[in-house]
Amino acid sequence: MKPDAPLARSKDARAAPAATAELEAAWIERARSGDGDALRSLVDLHRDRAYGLALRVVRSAVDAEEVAQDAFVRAWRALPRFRGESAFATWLYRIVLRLAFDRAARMRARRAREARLEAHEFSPEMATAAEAGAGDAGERLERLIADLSEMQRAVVTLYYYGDRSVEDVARTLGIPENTVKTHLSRARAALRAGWKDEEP
Amino acid sequence: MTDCNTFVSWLDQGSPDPERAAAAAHAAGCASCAERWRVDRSLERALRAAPEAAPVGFTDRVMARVGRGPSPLATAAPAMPWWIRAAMEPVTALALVASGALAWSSHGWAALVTAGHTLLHLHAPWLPSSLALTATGTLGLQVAAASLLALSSGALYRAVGRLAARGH
Repeated sequence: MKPDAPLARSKDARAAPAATAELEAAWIERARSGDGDALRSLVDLHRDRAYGLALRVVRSAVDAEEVAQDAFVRAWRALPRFRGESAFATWLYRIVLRLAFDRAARMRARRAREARLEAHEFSPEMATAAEAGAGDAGERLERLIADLSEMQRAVVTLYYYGDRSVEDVARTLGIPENTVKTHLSRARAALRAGWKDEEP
Repeated sequence: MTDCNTFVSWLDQGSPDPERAAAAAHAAGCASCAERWRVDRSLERALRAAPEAAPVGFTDRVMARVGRGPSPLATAAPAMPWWIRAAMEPVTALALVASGALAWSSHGWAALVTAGHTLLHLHAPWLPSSLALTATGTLGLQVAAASLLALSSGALYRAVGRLAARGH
């Protein structure tokens, strides 16, 4: 599937953070009082990162979309109780990750059941777009990331693609900052070794 | 930074700025660390790029699901019985204080009992005339007044809630 037209893409948000933050605050306030258009703007702003984060954890495009959609729907329902103690993105990504980890655990259990029933049979549902393709840098990276643990994938995605600080990542995942640093350090070492070997 | 292990450890920490100059000095004289650094920068660029954008129609599908569900304002109300929420309303507290003051002041209570007694005899002349003045009658009147107050607080609370929801 191809992405939507980038109305308010995440990269644009990084280019003008102050303006986007003001707009986002206004959208949150309006969405909180039931304004659907404001919610649409919030979804447009965060959809790629939310989906990307879910995809990195669950490793399946179909499941990642369901997780990201569920997260937005839950965030919408919980919005009147959102007090702004953390950034909206931190709050939203926390919902995405909680749902993604739950989904990944269910998928693991299902895979284990299927493996017991049909040993060595390939499960096409688990094949990701990255695994199916071959060649470009993005696909090579996804193959390497797939070998990390779920927590390492979440930490790496939040830190690099989500553009969050170590403190934000720790708050989002509910783990100590030192644990985030350890995950990042181990993930970097593993990825760097694989990245070097896979370079053309 | 004098050795390759320290350099690799610096890369693992995300190439923090304070040691960047020392790392660059080491890499300038060490081909393998210079190569490690190049690979690391290329990896970081790839990591910061989008893994994959959300699929076409993602926002529309979220909005469709949101449209089918209840409004967040409808689900935002705390899951408590109405009489607890009514009891926490300032208007209820005020009504309780006012009626308490009236009931416990001798004149107010006497007026209330007399009014109750008169009403009782108007509508139920067959009841014994001393009922309202006995301890049981007094207690009954107090319980009835408290129940009436609680019920009217609840009705008032719900009416205000409906008006507020209409305002949104």
